[in-house]
Amino acid sequence: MNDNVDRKCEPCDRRTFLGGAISAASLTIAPGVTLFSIPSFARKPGERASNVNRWGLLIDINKCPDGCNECVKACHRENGVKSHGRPETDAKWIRKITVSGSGRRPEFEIPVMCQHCENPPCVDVCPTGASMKRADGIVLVDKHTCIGCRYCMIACPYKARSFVHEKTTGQRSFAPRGKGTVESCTLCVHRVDQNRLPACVERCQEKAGGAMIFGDINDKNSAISKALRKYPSKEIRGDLNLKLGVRYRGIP
Amino acid sequence: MMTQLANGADLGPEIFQGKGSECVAESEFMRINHMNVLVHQGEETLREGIRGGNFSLKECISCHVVPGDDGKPVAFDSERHFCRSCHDYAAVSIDCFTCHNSVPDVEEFTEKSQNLSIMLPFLGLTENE
Repeated sequence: MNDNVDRKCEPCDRRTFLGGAISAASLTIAPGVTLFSIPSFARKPGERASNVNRWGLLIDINKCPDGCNECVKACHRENGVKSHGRPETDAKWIRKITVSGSGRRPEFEIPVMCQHCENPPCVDVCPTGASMKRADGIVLVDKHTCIGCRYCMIACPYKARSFVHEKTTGQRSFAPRGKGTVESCTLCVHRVDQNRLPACVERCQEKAGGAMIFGDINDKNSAISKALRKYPSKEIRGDLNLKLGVRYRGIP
Repeated sequence: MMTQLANGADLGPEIFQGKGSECVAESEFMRINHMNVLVHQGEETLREGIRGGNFSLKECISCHVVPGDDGKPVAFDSERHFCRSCHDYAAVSIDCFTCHNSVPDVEEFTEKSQNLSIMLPFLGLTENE
C-alpha cells in the first residue's frame, strides 16, 4: 500500500494502482494464511450504521494536479447536481480552491468538500435537527426537516454547504434534492452502504492522479489508516478541533 | 371495495397496475398507510443507515412506472403518473416530487464501477480472494 501512497503524480491507471496495492497487501499476510475479512464494509440489510466505523478521506495534494476537475465532475454527475449557469448560486458539493503555499508550489489547488467533522458545527446550530451526523461519522441533511434557514452554511468553516435556489430536475433516486433546502457532500453514503467507493475517489483513482484514499479510519488495517500512520497529514483549520474525517497530505 | 355506478362503471380513479404481481403489502393497507411507511423508512434509512427495507419510494417509482406515449416513464407533471391518478381524484396534494425524482433512475453505472476489484486495496484483500 505504501509504495502506492508514495507514488508521484504520473498517470495512474487502475491496473498499476491495484498491482501496487496487492503486492504490498500480500506482504502483510503470513505465508499460507488467507486473510479474508470484510469487517468494516459489509452491513446486512436492516442493520444500522454504527460507530465501529468512521469513514474518512485522505487527499494527497502532491498527486492532485492543478486544473484537474475530475472529482468535482464525477461528484456532480453521480448526485445529479446541475449547474444553472449561475456560479454564484449553483450548488457545489466539491470545490477546487486555490491556496497559497511556499517554495516549489507557491500556489496550488485543493479539493474541499464537507469535511465530515466529528464535532460538526452545522449540527450544533441547526434549529430543527435536520443537520445530523450518522453513527459512522457521515454528516447529512434530512431534507424532510430542513427549513432552509442556512444557519449551517454560516456555521461551516469550510463553506461546504450549498443552498438549492432553483427548482430541481433529474435528481438521482438516492440523492433527492429540492429547492429551499441545504445540501452538501454525503460521502456518497448510498455507495458506501453498498461497499462501493465514493464517486470522486473512484474517478480520481481511475482517471486522475489517484490522490484520494477512502476508508475506515477506525480500522487499523485499512489503507487510509496505514497511510495516516505512515505520513504526516493535516486537517484544514485543525485548530478548531472539529476532528475531521477528511485529511490532507502535502499542504503546508 | 370500489363504489360502482348503476351501469357497472367504477367511480374510483383509474390506476395503472404495477409491474410486479403484488405490492409489498396488501393494497388496502398501502392505500391507507403508504405515506406513513414511506416517511418512517426514509427516516430510518437516512438517520440510521438501515438499507434494504420493504417500503422504499424508489421501488414504488420503479414498479408503478407508467409508460408515456414515447414509451418513456411519465413524470409527475403528467396526469397519468401513478401517484397523481389517485391524488388528483382525492384532491390531496403531495410535495414528495419537489425533491424526489418521479421517474426511475436511468442506470448509467458502468459495469466497471460496480466491479468489486476496485475495493480490494482497502479491504486488505488480494485479487484472487
